[in-house]
Amino acid sequence: MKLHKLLRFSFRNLFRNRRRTIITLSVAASGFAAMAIIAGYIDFTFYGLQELTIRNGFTGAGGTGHIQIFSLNALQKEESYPLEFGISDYEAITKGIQTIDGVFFAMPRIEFSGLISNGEKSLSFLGMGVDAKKEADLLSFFGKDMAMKLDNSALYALQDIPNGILLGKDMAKSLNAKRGDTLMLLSTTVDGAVNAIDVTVAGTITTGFKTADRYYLLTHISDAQRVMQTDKVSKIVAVLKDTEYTPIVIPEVSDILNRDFPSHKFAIEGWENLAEYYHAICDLYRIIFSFVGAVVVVIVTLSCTNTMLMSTMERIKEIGTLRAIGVSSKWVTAIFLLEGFLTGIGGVIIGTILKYIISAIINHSWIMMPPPPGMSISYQLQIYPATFFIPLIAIVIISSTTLSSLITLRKVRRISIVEAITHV
Amino acid sequence: MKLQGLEIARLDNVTKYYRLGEVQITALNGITLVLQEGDFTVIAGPSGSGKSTMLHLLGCIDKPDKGSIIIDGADTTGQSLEELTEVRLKRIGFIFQTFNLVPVLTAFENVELPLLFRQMGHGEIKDRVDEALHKVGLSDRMRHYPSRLSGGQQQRVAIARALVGHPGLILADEPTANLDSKTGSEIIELLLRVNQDERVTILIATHDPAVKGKANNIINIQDGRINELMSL
Ligand SMILES: Nc1ncnc2c1ncn2[C@@H]1O[C@H](COP(=O)(O)OP(=O)(O)OP(=O)(O)O)[C@@H](O)[C@H]1O
Ligand SMILES: [Mg+2]
Repeated sequence: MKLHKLLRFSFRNLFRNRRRTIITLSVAASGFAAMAIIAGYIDFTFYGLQELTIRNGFTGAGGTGHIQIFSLNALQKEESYPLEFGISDYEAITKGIQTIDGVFFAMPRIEFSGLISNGEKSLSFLGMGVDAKKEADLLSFFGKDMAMKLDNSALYALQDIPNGILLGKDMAKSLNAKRGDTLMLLSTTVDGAVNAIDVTVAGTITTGFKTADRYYLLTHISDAQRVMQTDKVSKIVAVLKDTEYTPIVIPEVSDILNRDFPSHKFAIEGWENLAEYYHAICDLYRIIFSFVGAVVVVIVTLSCTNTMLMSTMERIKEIGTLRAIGVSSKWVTAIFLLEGFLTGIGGVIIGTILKYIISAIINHSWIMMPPPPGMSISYQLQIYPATFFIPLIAIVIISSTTLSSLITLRKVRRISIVEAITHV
Repeated sequence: MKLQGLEIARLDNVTKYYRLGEVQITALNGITLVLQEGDFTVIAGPSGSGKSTMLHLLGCIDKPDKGSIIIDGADTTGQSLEELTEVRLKRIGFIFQTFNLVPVLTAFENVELPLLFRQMGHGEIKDRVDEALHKVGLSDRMRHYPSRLSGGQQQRVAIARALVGHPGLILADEPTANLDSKTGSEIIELLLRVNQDERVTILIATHDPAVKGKANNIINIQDGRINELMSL
């Protein structure tokens, strides 16, 4: 029997055993759709995490941006005094980077620490000196299609107040500080002395991390420099127009720095290298997805096998008759495998349609998801196409329907022809 | 006694056991039998005497425990499953008590079935199926599914399916048992006609005395042994 005859035969069997085919097809199609939707959800989650990492970060220390530039020394050596390996030409560097196509803007940051006091009580802090307007832009720029807004009102408030400061929510509570209050900020200068400046509370921030909310604060970059008596910054953060540009822009940044500041050695890091938390969560999701995938595969295989087995018991006599009139067991196997395979293909086709319909419904129904771990922002549930996973899922589904026809066949094989033809 | 014809099939001292738990049943006990071209033979005998077992062995869907089965001069004893399948496909036609048509296939498709597994072109297949359906008088029903056919018509389709491969031997196990007596005798008439027109050897296992009357050989078996062999 040639392939086209076999195909015609199998198709005919599938079409005419309508009830069985509908059941196995729906099982395969729902399995495919379920896995594709989960993959789409995970793809969306990865994207959300990625953008959250870049725009907001998870530790209170701000989003990573897309690219960060340090002095190479800052990464390799211990500083003997604050900002020993800071960057002093940051304004020129920032301007240079901003000429690159694909760069939205660049901004400096200073990381520092010290004590903050309301006169009665002092708390130690980790602080960051920032360009409030640009940090606000980084936040507001968040995920164009995520329909998720990060709150940047505090940063806007900071912009308007000279000597302004944003306190972690719990730190503010602990210091009993309200908007407009004056506090004293103490830190070590680059010369090792202790310096203090007056700051005005512009508002509070919530990082999503309880501990960070207790020790974190933000100041203007100029105030951080003033208290530390320096003109350097810790690093420069470049924000791109799209996260996808990162690998293209990194070498361009490197070129510009080598060209304009040949005497200085810089380290340039993409966001992926700066985002440990992101990778940990992605790994976790991958494990969950593999697990769910395995469960779906087992369910699809079992239900397909079950349906096929049930109908095969009805077909035992038919198979016995085929064998008796001289159809070899090789052909019977081929017919079975082909039916399983075609069911898988049909399941994938219907499942793809199903997946698009369900994704479209989900994406248009504005389901708000609870905030991710440690975060305080909810966001709209979206299912992404997850194009990368689709062929993989298709293979998995087709294999499991084919496998279930194999399992069925094994059962049928145990029955002798004589038993089969007299089977009722 | 008719002329010594060409030997189509032979059972040579065939014994078949069945095992039911601890008990061993001897279904056939040293049967020797020759079927010649053009024979129309009936195996008669009480229930459990071994009629079906004999047909299954002759049809190469089961193997004897002792003795040998020769089909068209070839000893099947040492043959592989593949080879036996080939023998069934090309040399033997089966007719069952319960017709055993594939329910999702039309009459035409059921008859076509054995030919699909042979090297045969589309046109030749169609011609042969048409011819076979014509012989059993069902040319006008070939697009019908078995469920739309009467029992007699279904058995005719089964006969066409057995005939379509032009086998030398047709084995029918109680072909009339599920039919009323009038339809049953029509089926036997049809088989007789096929036997005479095509010179196909036909072996029928039956209880039906009406069938016995038409046969040119009657084999009576009891407890797995032939106790009477009549040539008419
Ligand atoms: N699969 C089997 N397992 C065990 N014993 C069997 C099996 N098939 C047949 N037998 C036994 O072998 C003997 C012959 O059975 P067989 O079916 O050949 O008889 P039969 O003449 O066709 O009977 P019937 O007229 O009822 O169809 C019987 O005793 C039967 O019980
Ligand atoms: Mg019987």
